[in-house]
Amino acid sequence: MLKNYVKIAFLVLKRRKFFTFISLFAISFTLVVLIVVSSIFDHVLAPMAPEINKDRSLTMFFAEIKGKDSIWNGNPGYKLLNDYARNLPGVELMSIHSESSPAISYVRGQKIVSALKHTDGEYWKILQFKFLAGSPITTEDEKNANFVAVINQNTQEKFFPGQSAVGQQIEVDDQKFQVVGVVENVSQLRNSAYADIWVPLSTSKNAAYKTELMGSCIATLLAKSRADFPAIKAEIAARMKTVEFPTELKKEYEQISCFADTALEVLSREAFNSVEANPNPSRFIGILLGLMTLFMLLPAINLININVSRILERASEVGVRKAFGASSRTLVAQFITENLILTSLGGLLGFVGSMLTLQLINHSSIIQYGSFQVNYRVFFYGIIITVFFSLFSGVYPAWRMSKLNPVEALKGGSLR
Amino acid sequence: MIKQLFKIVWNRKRANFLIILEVFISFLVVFAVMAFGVYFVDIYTYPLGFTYQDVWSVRINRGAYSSDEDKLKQIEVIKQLMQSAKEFSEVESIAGVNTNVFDNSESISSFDYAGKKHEPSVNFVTDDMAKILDIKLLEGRWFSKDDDAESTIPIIINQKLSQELFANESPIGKVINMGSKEELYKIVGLVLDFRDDTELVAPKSYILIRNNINIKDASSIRMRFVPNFIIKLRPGTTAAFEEKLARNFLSIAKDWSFNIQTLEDLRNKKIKGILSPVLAVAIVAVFLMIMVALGLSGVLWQNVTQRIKEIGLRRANGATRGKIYYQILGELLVITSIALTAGTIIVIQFPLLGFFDFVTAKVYIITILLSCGIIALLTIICGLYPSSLAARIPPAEALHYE
Repeated sequence: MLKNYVKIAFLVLKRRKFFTFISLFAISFTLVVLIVVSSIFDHVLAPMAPEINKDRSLTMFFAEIKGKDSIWNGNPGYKLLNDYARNLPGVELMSIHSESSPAISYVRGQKIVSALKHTDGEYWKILQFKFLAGSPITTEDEKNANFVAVINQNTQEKFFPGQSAVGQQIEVDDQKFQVVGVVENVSQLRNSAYADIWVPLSTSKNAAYKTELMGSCIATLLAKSRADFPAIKAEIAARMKTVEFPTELKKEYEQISCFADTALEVLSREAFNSVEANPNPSRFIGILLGLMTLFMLLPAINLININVSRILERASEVGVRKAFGASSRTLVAQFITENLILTSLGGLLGFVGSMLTLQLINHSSIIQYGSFQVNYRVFFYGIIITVFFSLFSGVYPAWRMSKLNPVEALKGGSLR
Repeated sequence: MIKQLFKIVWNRKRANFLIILEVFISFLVVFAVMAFGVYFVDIYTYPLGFTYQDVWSVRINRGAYSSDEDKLKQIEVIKQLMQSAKEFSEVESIAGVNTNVFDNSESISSFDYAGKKHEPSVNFVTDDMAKILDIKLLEGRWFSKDDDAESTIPIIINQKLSQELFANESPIGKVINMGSKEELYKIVGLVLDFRDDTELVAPKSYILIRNNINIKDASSIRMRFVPNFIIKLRPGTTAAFEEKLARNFLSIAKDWSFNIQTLEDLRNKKIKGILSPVLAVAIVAVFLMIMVALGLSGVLWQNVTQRIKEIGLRRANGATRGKIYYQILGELLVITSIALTAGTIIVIQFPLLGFFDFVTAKVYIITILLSCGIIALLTIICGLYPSSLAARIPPAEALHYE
């Protein structure tokens, strides 16, 4: 029976090529947009090199101190993380590093702006960068304030075109570093991992960062498993109550909060500007799914319109089927299957279109070092979206078809 | 005639309902995109309030300070840096600003005046800023050295804030108290505007506060008194000078870092940042409209082939080709106007619900009219081919069509 449905579906598609073209255009365009969006979210959230353990990592990137009249929020400072976020229960490795910030170099009269990140040694154990040459910054480098740097491929090409950078000197913001490693470029959207040049925290131009409660640092915590998250969060919350304020801050501020967030929580904290312990990631996902459905509305109605028109064309066929005893349910099932085949074809085109679009985005430097792709997760999302869209646009026309009056239909009657 | 068209549309209400729904939603999509388009065009036309040619911005990363002596030391370094920059023949003048022009950060002050809360952007600037950015005063005067002796802090406000605070009165000479700090600010000048977020961000109320970097009292020095720079260069200065200037700064302040950029570059970057997402949405919207147009012409074409008998009968009864042509187009127009009326009614509710509240009434009305026009044009284009197809139906053939 299914084989018959497939056969009929292809016959119908061949009959009116213009309609088939319109339907496929609409379906594939809709899916391209949705697949590209899911790919971008996957690119931000999913564990992938160098953050292969992202699913069991927590990020502390947001802190807020509060007084009667004043609120100050931003990144936590080194002191807060170093004094109160070390040795948490259930945490395997912990790294403190800075946000990446622009750093200036002048090479052969050319100005080069690089994203510079200050890190410790653990950073290179939690994040598994792919080294093209050399080795990472070590804990000793950080302890001894060695002027060493790891750079990415793009920086190597800019500073040392055609040569290997390892062992050479690189000058950034008037400081000289010896390059010890070259890694692959990492996308700008991977906030903890992204930079052009990485150097030890202790080589910062002034040591003031060591005394800051609020500053420009991030802590990455690698938990033993996801099950440890609640305990870690509770312990951090408890420790934040014991933070001692330096006299300078005591005048204006009384309490401090700083949270450890999963990748999704980071995103929803940024989206909602949330200062709560729970930035409500389920609401974020809900809004996202809602927007995707809303976006599907117009293409779906468009497709419903086309589908309803096509049914009219097939009124006599439906009449014959009905006259020979096909139940409404059979006809609904048949039409939904046909629509599923049509949307799957559109989906196939959609995947091809998405790959091309993502290539285009990757090559335009909208997102620095962005490498969006249709991987197995995105493929899976794409299939779910296709099936959902198929049902969204197929159920109503199927119902209309099943409601055709057989006598009228046999005469090629019209729908009112 | 029109009544007749409504009747025909009503008789096929079920088939037409879906088309109306599609046109209705298309209208909402077009409206949303056009609202941003018209909004940006509208605010782009207001004056920027300054010029940015041959001006560079220097962003200074100087680390936090821990004591009052530290602050004084930092201010001393700032003074040295400014003095050293002036010695270059390429530099016309240099000024300190707390928030750089076209920067992504901003600082906002919140205070009560006459029982109402105000939240203008504030910037702490030194005396040479007006010269560098060529800011024109509407009233009053610019800051000068004589202000050092004043007990109140001189400020210059823009017209928007002046309207908010004093309606049509002249603001010059008025004194305001901003917040808990017992500092009084005296308005000495009025400018039209100072849009340091580029032309694509709506003008906002703004206060320029005089930054007295000659201050000696360490306890009254706050972070904002240690500024970043803007530098006016002689026309024709090349990018090569940037390295010279940066190296000079670095030789004076060894543990600071400096990011020098032209205001032109900063502006382009900022505009790109604002427009890119809008452009992406607009591209998607254009594709959606192409899809709707294709779908609609397909459906209308199908409708015509379905009504061959009816149209044939009308032709046999003496309706001319032209009449049939305009009947089909007329029906489409009725459908479109129903959808657009419904859409407009819905869209008018939005500002009441708090969406699009950044848009002025003028922009809103233009957007509605434009969107209606675009949708009407789109549906008419979709209807042209099916209408001419209907007009070409030969009556004899149509009547024995089965």
